[in-house]
Amino acid sequence: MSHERNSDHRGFVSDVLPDASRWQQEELERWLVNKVAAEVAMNPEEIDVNTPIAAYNLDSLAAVTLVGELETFLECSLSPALFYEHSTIRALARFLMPQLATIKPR
Amino acid sequence: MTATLGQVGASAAAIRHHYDIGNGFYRLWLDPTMNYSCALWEGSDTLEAAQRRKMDYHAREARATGADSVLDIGCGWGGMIQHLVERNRAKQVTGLTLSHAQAEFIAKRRLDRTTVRVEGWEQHDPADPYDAIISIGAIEHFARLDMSASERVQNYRAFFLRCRDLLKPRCWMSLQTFAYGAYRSRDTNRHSAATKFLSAQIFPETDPPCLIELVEAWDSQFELVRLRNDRLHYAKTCRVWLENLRANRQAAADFIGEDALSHYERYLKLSTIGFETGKLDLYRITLRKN
Repeated sequence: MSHERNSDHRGFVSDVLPDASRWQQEELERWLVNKVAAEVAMNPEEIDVNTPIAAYNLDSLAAVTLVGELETFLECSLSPALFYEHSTIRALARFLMPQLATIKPR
Repeated sequence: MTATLGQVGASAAAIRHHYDIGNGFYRLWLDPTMNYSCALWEGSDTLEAAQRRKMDYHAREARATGADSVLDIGCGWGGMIQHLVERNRAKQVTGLTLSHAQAEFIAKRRLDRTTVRVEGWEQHDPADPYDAIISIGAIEHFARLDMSASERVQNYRAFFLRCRDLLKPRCWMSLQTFAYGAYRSRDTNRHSAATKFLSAQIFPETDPPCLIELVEAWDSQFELVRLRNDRLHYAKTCRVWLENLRANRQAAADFIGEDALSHYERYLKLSTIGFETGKLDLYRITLRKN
């Protein structure tokens, strides 16, 4: 099932819902890096999974949007303040892996 | 003496935009007392218990327990008014709101010893001053985003001057308001994407205060007796509201439609983040008339 996203002022292309059921932590980290990079207008290569997320100045509207996306593809409810509750992208990915394990393949 | 200020802060239409969306909708996710403001949490409180704890707190701070006459400025759906007459033994309570729907909702409760008036504090002109004033979640609406810094302080000062006139000598006022946190500049706060979304979709014509503005506004009118920053209480309150809204999602969508509902969910999530991170504060302020 694909979820089209209209391109918005940040210029996202429409993307399909990933089949994350078999992802390893690295793949989840890569997804998070790409999403954060897009929201803060940086290149993914500039985002480090061990640097505090706070250093990237993700604004709260972007954070809420990303949590919403995570909820959709992980099929669960998450804390709205998720990006503020985990210090780094790696820590966040580690936290989310157990939920990943519960979703069915698409 | 009636202040002749004209319109101050958010217009009645703007207030109605948010609060008249339908009492039924709000009933789905607020607690049974319909308190639409930060609770005061302790131990394993339910939302309702925490809201009652908050109301008891304000009654104590304002010295409203057993008082002859109490004024509730911005009385919402009447939770505080009802608590004052039924639990705090206030002899007479007057509530002010700009929302006719809220006033009608309170009227249906048929509470003894209460009066609700659809008017602002600027127009309120009672025969006698009050023993106590409580104002919870109202002052956030007294300034607009397009006001200059000095206009904002002028508005708040007019409010405190009026409250002074409405209070008997040496009496108390208990205030609760959220506000921009002080750890980053006011301009940054006011121009964030989150603020723009909230003021466009949820609270038109509303711009919360900063502490420094309130202090300047009450200066030489009131003594500051106590000030608490309970922002984490508001983060928790917003989380519970969001859970309640999600648990009743279909009914909520039936009331207000999917688009408006997704705005509400987003606003509750943004608020949670704001209070968790200190972008927003929640003040409980006790003042005493000089």
